[in-house]
Amino acid sequence: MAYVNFISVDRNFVPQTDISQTNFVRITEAAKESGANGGNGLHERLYAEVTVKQAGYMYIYLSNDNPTVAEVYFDDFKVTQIKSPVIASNDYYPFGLTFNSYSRESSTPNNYLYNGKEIQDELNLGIYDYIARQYDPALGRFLSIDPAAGGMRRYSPYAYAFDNPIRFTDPDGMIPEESTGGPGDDEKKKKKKQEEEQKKKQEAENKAKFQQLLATIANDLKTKGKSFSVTFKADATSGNKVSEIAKAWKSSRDLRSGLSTAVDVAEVGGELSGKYKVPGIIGGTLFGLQVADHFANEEYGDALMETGKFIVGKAIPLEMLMAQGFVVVAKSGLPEAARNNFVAAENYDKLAANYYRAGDMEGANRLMQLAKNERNAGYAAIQTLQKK
Amino acid sequence: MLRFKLYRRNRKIDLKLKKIIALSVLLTFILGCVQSTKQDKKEINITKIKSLADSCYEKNNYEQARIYLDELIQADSSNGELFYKRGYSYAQLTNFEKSSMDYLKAVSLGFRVSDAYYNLGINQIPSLNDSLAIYYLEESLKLSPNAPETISTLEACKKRLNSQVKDKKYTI
Repeated sequence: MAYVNFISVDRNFVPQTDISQTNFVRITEAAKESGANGGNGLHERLYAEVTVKQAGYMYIYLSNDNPTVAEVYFDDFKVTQIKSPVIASNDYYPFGLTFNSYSRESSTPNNYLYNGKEIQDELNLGIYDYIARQYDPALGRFLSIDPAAGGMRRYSPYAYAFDNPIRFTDPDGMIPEESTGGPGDDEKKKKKKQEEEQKKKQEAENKAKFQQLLATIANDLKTKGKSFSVTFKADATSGNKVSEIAKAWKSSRDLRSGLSTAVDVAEVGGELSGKYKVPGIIGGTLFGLQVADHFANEEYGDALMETGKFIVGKAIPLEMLMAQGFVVVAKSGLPEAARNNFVAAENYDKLAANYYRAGDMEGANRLMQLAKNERNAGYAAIQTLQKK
Repeated sequence: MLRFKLYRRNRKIDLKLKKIIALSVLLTFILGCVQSTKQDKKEINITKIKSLADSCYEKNNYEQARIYLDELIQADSSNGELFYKRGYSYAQLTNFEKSSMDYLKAVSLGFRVSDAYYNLGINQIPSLNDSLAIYYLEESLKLSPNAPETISTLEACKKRLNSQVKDKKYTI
């Protein structure tokens, strides 16, 4: 009996025992001289098609194992390799070092490997270009410090993805990002939902706190504020009425008409809505309108924060009474508010620079004035916060 | 005769010496008096300036308080209270760099260290330097762990820094 044999082995020379990978094709009677094709010079075609499933080697040989001597002639032996669509494959360790790499011979090498980053192989160092920095997968470290290292003080500026490449990726060598699409996504969604609920709850609490504050002030004004000849309706502090005033104020932005409607409804609303806008009376404390804005938008936390900016020392007695109440409650939000002022001032400055470049001096000046106002508000808040 | 003459001459020299010694003692005494009155005057001056500085400080007249405090610090640079007060005055005059330097000096001299650190943290707000603010506030919190304003400010800073890392609001 004669055979065409093929034995597949993987890259480590371990034979593949699967019959689709290792098998033989035996010659039949058809090849005999006196056989079915005998005498007519036809050969039997021994043919096997093997789909190679992994990179490795194949040993192909012809054998004649007949117990009695029988001459078998093989000719036109041919191995045809049809290449698979897979050009290259790589497996990676978590930090990006490759193993089990395969690439088809004579194929154009693919340099975009781990996380799609380009490998810099000119010096055979195997480092990746991560836009802002170069990354060495063998070390699991970047070769230079993080340009955004200031924001991540707890981690080494050379670390890759917070030393946790399973959870984080670092798309540009700057700030690692949490990867999405993983098994923990549901939990994240749940967490986000919880956070939102918490936020809602907080906002409701803020609202209650704000209204409580208004009620306290109303009471204070009633008892202590008589000397300032204030007429005040107790029910005027209900959220809706103040909110209406605030809205009206927001839409009209007209001090007098706002006050004329406000005064008979609620002094507190009036105060909040715009009395603080009057220059000269309270020496430029301009936050009332912002409080009204936040109130109208139902941003109670921000409203509380804005109220924290009232400066007791500069307010006239009536406002002082109010401001004292506000300051106690809202002082915790004051640093945040002050910071917002400085951020806003910076933005105004940038915008002003753009206007200036475009030749709009008037606009630039206006924006610079706004920046100045924001800065002054911030300074005032910081001065209030300092411990004497 | 010769011995008598010699005796008389020696006596004369003794008298002269005594006069010189007496004069020098007198001079030393007078000089000492002058010196001590000068010192007394200086001390009286310092006490006066201190009370003036305090009164200006309490009345929120920080510009004048700062001037007095400058003088006081020139006379005694080992008093943490003076530095603290000048730091506060500078902050009220919106000169936060100088204010921070004075607070740091007050910290090194051990005067109201926790408050000085808190104020230092607050002073970082205009420069939007959250990292440094966190450092100072944490130092303040170590000394007075239950200060609510420090806790809330610190939490806000940390939260903001985390969200910045998340949202990549970085400018490089």
